[in-house]
Amino acid sequence: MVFNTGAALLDAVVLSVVSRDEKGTYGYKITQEVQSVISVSESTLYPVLRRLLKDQCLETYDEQFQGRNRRYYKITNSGLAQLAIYKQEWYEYTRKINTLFEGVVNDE
Amino acid sequence: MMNKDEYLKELEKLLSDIDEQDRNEALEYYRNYFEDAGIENEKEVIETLGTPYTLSQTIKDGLKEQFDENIEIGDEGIKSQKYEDKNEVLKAKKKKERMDKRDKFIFIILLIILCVPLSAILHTFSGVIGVIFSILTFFFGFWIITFLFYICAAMSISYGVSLIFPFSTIISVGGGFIYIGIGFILIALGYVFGKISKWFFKEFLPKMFRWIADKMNSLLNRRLEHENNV
Repeated sequence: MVFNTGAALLDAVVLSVVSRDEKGTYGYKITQEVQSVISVSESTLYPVLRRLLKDQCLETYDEQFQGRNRRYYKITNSGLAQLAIYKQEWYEYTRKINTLFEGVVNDE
Repeated sequence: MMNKDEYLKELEKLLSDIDEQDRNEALEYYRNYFEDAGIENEKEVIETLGTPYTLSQTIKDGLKEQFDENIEIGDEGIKSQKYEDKNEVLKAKKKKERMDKRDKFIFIILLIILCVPLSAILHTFSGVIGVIFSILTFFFGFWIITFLFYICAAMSISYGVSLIFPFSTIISVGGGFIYIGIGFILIALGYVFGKISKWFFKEFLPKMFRWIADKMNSLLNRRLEHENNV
């Protein structure tokens, strides 16, 4: 993609990926799923997840998996609210750009 | 290529200056990450995570809440304007340092070489003619030799002329012509030495300065690079 993704959009993508799993999901899987949508280096997700945790948009819990500990990330209510804001902003933004591209005359 | 355990160990070392809880959390995350990727993807994960050093920098920036500043995510993954700027500043600094060093070398070499004719002049004033041919006067010697050849030539020719023509009490036509001949040979030699000195000062010396400066410089840089790598 020729367009760069800002930090807010990265947050939105991560929140969206995590919110798709009721049970929550883990670091490696989040990275894989985010990477399938936008190119982002693997080392990027840790600071993003950490910040989202700190902002209480995400929460974690540990669960045993194949005899070892695995940390799961789950979206919180405030995370869902934040995601809704991001989505709203995104739709608004893309709608404007699309309108411009499609050449509809703005008669404001 | 290091394996997962070595990678995590190195990362732990690099994170030793941060809060213990933050460090353990980051290490736990990446241990989890390796385990979930599976042993078959270990190599690939290490490649994509980057060196332990860059990873530790990303983690630390995240802790400082600076991670979001100026980041861009494009096709080549994430890019931080901050890292790039830092990199460029470092590069520019290095380049400048090299230039400065080269200039310094040229200056030192010039100083050493300028000292040689100075000592030659001192020796000449003490009246030792042999000094002209000594190693000490080597650099400046060409000009002195040229100069002396012309003086000797003038003296020889005038003495020869004085022998042929009856100005003095001794008249020796044969001897006169020998002295005049010697004078012409000296003029020729003086001319040759003049050319040599001109070439020496205009072509050879500047080339030599540059060559020595470059050699010393590259030697020093190689050592610096070596030290940086260690």
